[in-house]
Amino acid sequence: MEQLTYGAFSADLHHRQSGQRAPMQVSIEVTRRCPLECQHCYNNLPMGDQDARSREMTTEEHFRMLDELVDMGCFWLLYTGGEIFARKDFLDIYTYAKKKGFLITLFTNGTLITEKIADYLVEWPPFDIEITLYGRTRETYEALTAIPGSYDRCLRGIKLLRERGLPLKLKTVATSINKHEVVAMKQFAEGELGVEFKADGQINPRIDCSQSPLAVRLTPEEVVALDMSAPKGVSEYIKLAKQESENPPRLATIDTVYFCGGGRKSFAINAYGEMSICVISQQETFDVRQSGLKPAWEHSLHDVRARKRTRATKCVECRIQSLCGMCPANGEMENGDQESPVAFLCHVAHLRAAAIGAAIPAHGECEFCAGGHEHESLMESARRIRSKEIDVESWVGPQHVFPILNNPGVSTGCGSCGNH
Amino acid sequence: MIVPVRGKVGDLASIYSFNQTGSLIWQALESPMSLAELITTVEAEYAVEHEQAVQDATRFLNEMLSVGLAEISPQVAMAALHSKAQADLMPASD
Repeated sequence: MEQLTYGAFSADLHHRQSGQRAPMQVSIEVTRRCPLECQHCYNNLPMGDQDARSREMTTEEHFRMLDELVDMGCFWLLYTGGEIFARKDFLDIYTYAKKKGFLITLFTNGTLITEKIADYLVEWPPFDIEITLYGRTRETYEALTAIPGSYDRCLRGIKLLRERGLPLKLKTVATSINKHEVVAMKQFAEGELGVEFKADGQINPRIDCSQSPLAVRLTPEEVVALDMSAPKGVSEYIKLAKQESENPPRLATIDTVYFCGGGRKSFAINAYGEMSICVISQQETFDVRQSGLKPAWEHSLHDVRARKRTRATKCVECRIQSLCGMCPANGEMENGDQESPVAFLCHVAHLRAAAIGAAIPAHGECEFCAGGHEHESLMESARRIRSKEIDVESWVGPQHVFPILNNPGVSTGCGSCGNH
Repeated sequence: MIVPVRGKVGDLASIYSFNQTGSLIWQALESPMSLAELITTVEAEYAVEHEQAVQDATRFLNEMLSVGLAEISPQVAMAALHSKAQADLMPASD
């Protein structure tokens, strides 16, 4: 009998599968309903949304899909929402998946976790559970979630999982509402609980095209200042930038719109039984409730993944791409066009490069590069971040609790559909 | 390939792979089985010498027991303890 650590097994499997188009990882959104009403969320719907509920895949449909995923060779599953525990049958679905041998990660806000659920997870442990924490004080947490009592329920969920030794990680979405508590959240996770923590400033528009979440998005300076406060993250960016500078532009060697693992190694299934490249790319989805997963994977999604780029944007020759969050799904959500560079992400990537002292080779007409109209102000921002004039440790809370009302000028629609 | 799925069964941070004999034993253990029955199963499948089958089955079972992938039923364990206790109480013959 050979005993492999998970890391060794994963590396071996990825190596053996490299070059092949095979779905190893699948994200399954079980519902979009959620007991929280976070302003930054890209897909949440009210718990009582009966229309959403009636459209969700049934328990049996989930079971059938899991059977098919086993046949397709999938090994890693991510269950996400909405809030996964908003479905009363979630543990039935989860247990079925566990018995099939999937390595399962759960994304949850923790507020619906009870002793019974925590005990059950001890019996059937997930590979990982990630709880998103929205603040380190009740006031801040609930300013973002808009639900009184949610902070205490989240802390209770964290406590129940932690005291049972379950594989818990905490994370936060840094927004203009909670940015001043990111340091305290990190200290709580790593210092008090001894669990991993990460903060991410990435906020997308909603999948129904509303751009309302952008009202609480950090500024590019704040996103990069947050990066710079995590030494491990900075050293990783420096490493990536160095590697990329020593090679030709990666995207120039790829002629397809998509350049990630979506549609090659992974895909997503939304709450209504539709397959897509990833959870945030929802303009092209394929119903799998009737036909099953394989035809959609082998034909429809294959065709999306193989689609050729129609034009050479400034991203194609870019050599700080590893510092950038731009992807076709982000282009789709923010610009209504998969190929259009997202100005915010481009700004962040250039500022990130400047802040870590990485070279930014010319890559066509770009407002943030040398000679561009934003370049000077970008370099000044980088200087302020490096000198700690912009410093996460000194951030203070917002002056108001209704940020959207206080943030005029933010567009609420992408213009690509009439569903604002 | 075996992925532990249940708490306290195997090491959840590990994945186990078995050779052919191991796979045969694992499948046979879907229902509880004695060591003697397992040895007979291995002998029948691979037409190996009895000694070899004993050695292979015992070694594999010990490995599974040590990482928690198999367990000895409480009745068998009690019987084994009882025999040992009796043996310990027996006066040394000389």
